[in-house]
Amino acid sequence: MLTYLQRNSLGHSSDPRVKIIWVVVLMGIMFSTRTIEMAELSLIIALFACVFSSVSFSEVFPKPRFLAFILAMPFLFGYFFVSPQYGIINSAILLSALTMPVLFILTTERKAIVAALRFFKLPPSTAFSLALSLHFLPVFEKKFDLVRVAQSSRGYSGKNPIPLAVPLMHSVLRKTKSLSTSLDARAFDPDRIPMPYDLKMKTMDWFALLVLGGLVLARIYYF
Amino acid sequence: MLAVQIDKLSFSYSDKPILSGISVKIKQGEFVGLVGKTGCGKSTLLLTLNGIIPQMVNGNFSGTVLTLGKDATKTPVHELARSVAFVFQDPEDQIFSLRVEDEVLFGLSNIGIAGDEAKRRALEALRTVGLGEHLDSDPHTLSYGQKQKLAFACALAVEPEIFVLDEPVSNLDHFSSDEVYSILGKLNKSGKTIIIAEHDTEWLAEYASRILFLNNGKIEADGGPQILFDNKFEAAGVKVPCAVKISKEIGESLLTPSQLITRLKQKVKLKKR
Repeated sequence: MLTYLQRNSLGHSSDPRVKIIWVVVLMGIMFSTRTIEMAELSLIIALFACVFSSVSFSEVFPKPRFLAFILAMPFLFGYFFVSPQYGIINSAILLSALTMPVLFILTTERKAIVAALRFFKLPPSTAFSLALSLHFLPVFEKKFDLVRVAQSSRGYSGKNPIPLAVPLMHSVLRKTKSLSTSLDARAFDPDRIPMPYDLKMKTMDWFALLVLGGLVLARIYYF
Repeated sequence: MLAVQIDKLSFSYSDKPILSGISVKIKQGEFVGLVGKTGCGKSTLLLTLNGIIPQMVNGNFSGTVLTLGKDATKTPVHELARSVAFVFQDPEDQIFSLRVEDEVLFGLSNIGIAGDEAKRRALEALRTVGLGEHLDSDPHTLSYGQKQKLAFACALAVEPEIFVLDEPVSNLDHFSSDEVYSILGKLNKSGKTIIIAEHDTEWLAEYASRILFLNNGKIEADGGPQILFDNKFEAAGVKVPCAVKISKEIGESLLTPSQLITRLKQKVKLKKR
């Protein structure tokens, strides 16, 4: 499930700002380059990121069938419209690109995300909303499963997404409304709350930024 | 024929065991109440009856589940939906249509029933649950209790052999709960099999012909409603009917308030004499 996993790893103890920079810059590099070398490098980086975060591949992608479906589309597109190699590159890059933000969510506490987003000058209310949306992803994932099960029990097996989408959307809206009401009831004001997390750059964070800088240079001069 | 035959059923989510080696047979026409505290595996067990587990929910599954002689682990869920109707705890998980009638017709169209026959069934089911006046209403504007009744009507319209209900009255007021249970009682008398999960046994004491007590993923008690007098139910966090509690205090073995009142009246009369 897409929720924070409490563990003691390099990935977990890294500064959230560095993780955000890594995810954004790396995705930019990945999607701007379509070479087999970049595909290989992306997969290696994703693999190392999993190892450094003590998170298994099955925890990142708990639904292999769904992942296969997602990866199949860019693969088939590349395979039929460009070349088989291009299809493989597309899928490999997409796999790596999906891994990084998922790892970020799995290894970063909500208050750390809020603090990092506020550091990047996002208004406190926006930062709080963004972090809260991430926090509720597993809730909606679970709700989606419940809706799917409820409709399947009524014999639904078709391709029409409406019987799944409408109850899920209603649930999301209801949840949002009740959450905002409960926050209001407790006099919550994101603009007034102090920085919720102590942001501190450690040696390994500077090293991670250095490696990222190297990747950017490699992208400019090599790939 | 047996309605349900479960043999050595075990299920776990990754390393968390939910059901451990459950074996049970349910005859057609039985009214079975599945009781146990929250998280004991009641809903998981129910989901195996129409094949949702293991076909749609990932986990470690072993054992066999036969529903009306069909292997529920292999028969497609949409095929089992013809003979097994499910009513979930939260009706809002299934409601998506813009008209109450359309919501009921959706389930019927899934099993290949359309046209006048579908309309007849939908109207009959909606009238049965007291929503006959709301055919054109938007289901999302109904009260929560009415939505639960609508979900129940969707199941009724399918006219299945087995009704599986997961805490269907947990969000209903006393009057509406009474209505739902009296409909279930009538269905049971007409030969339908009812399997219902509840943590509140008040209604089951009155309507169920058999109680299965699930604790830590195992069936720890199986028998008539009289087994609710066993102290282990309360000890395990199951809400025992008030009538049973009072009966215990006065040394009787009565299950329902009406039985209890009759007995108390008799006692008062005897004392007066």
